[in-house]
Amino acid sequence: MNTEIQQAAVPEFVYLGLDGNSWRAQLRVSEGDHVHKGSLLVAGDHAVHASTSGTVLGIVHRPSSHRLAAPRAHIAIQADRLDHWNEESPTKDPLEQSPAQLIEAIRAAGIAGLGGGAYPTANKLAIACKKPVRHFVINAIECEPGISADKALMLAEPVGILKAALVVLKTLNIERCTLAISDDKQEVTKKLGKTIDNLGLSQQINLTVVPAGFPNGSERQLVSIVLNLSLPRNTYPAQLGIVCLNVSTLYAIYQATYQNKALVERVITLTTHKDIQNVRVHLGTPAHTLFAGPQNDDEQTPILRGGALTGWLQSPVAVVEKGTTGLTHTVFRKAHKTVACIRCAKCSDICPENLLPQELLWYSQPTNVDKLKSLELSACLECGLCESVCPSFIPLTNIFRDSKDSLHHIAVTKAHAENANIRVTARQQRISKKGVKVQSMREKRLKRIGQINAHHSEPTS
Amino acid sequence: MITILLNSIIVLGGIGLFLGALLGWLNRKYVSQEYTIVDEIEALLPLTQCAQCGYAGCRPYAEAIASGGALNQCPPGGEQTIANLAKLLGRPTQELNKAYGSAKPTGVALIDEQQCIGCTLCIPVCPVDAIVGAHQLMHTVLEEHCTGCELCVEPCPVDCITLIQARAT
Repeated sequence: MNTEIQQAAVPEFVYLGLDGNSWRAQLRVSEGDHVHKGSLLVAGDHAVHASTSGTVLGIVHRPSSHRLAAPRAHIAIQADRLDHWNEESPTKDPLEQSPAQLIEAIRAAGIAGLGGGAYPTANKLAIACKKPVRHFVINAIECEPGISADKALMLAEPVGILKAALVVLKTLNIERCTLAISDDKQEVTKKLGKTIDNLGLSQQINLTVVPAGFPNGSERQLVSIVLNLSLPRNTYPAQLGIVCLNVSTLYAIYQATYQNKALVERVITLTTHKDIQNVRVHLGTPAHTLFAGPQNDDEQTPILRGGALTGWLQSPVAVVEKGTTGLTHTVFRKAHKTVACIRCAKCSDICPENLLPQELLWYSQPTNVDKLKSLELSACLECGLCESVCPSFIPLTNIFRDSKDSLHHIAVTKAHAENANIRVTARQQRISKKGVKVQSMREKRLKRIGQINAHHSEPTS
Repeated sequence: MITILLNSIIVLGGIGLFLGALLGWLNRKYVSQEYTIVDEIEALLPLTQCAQCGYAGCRPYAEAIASGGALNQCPPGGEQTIANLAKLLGRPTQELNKAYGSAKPTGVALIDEQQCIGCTLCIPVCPVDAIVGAHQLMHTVLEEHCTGCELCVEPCPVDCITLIQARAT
């Protein structure tokens, strides 16, 4: 496998995904505008930047890389193939800035968790900053089989990653952090150790080797191993003041704070029929264009997004997003015939969150909201271990993803209906009150008219 | 002998009185909310408050069903709601009565702001007060409160209100 990072060609069109509806108020460009690489398109927590220079064509709806999601709005840009960065304003030394300024810079660069979660990093830091005790763990585990993008990045850019760690330490206003790396990456460990010594950072960065294993690179599992604590269910580490950032995210922070470059590119592991490469791609590149070639470049065959265990099949025209860690063209997983659950409980033995997948499966078909809630479906990491040990080849992970979606849908619908009920009751009360008032006014008026009429009619009678 | 008898009567009687008083007080303090069959029926309805059933809203329709009304008058709920209601009430399922409309996915109302003339006719008909606007000024629908009941479509004199597919969840 090649650990060097290749640069992907500029695609003809890039499509940058927009979240929800909030972008409507935050849009900063209009149709026909010429943008540079790194130009702000949408401001806010989910900031979007142009990933290459070109002309804004408008907003299109196309498949999202989420498994089931409805078409998502994207800003389409026709690339001019020059890939010009916008003029970089001279940056101040990030270590001279205040934590609030640094968080703002990270927010403005649109940085999100590049390990796959794509949670806005600025929000994570802001939550943790409010806690009295803070920890910072650098996640260099990358336990997903078949993905080596972080490894390649660490070999290519160790200085940037470590300098960004200083920025995060400054933001959190703490002295030391832990860089956790798995024991199967000796080459990288050596390189990082040497770079730490060269930069004189051994006081600030504590290089810790943890056992390789899946899912040790998951935020919750890693924090539990490194800090030797057990996290409560449904609590994010940031809520306890623990910030865990992936090395790719750190490199993006380095680019944002030292070079004033927004997050517009990322390294992904590209697995084709022939080889496995780590490629730096422009965000918004349609996945199928990365597999150019007579055999590969079709728009029908789905592409595996992410790794072999946690990945899912996405539409081939869906784009590379901030959370895309890898793309695999050929699905190496053999299609097995699914048979019924035999209750062997292998899944519950292996579940890293100590859930009961066999029970979750039982209550997912059909969805039993109360049972799924009491079995804590929401704590499922979607790591895919249960599926990989299942002797009946039941696609558990996708079933749980579906169940999570339907629980969410049910909750949203219920909240909406309750809200409607409150508003209807309030309206009816208001109308009946108003009705009473109008009625009494009308009676008074009628009475007065009656009196006048009586007064006028008196002389004639 | 008599003292033992007296003591036990006093002690047990005292405990009985105390517990009785406690239960009475708790009952008064934590009045259990009455959950009637009407509430159960209402919970099964889609609560769009569209009044397509011919009643003023979901609550009145639920009351009507509880007193023997037909189950098949709720187009937004469709066959699923009828099946749920039939199961709850132990009545036979029926086809949706097409006289009240046909089942289709609920959307949200959208006002074409270019065409809106600011007549305010749509504002009072909205059962959830989801339309804001003033006389001769553009109106707009608050998406998060709109139930997609279509009651605002009919009164609009310039036909500028359409139902669009709701946001994806």
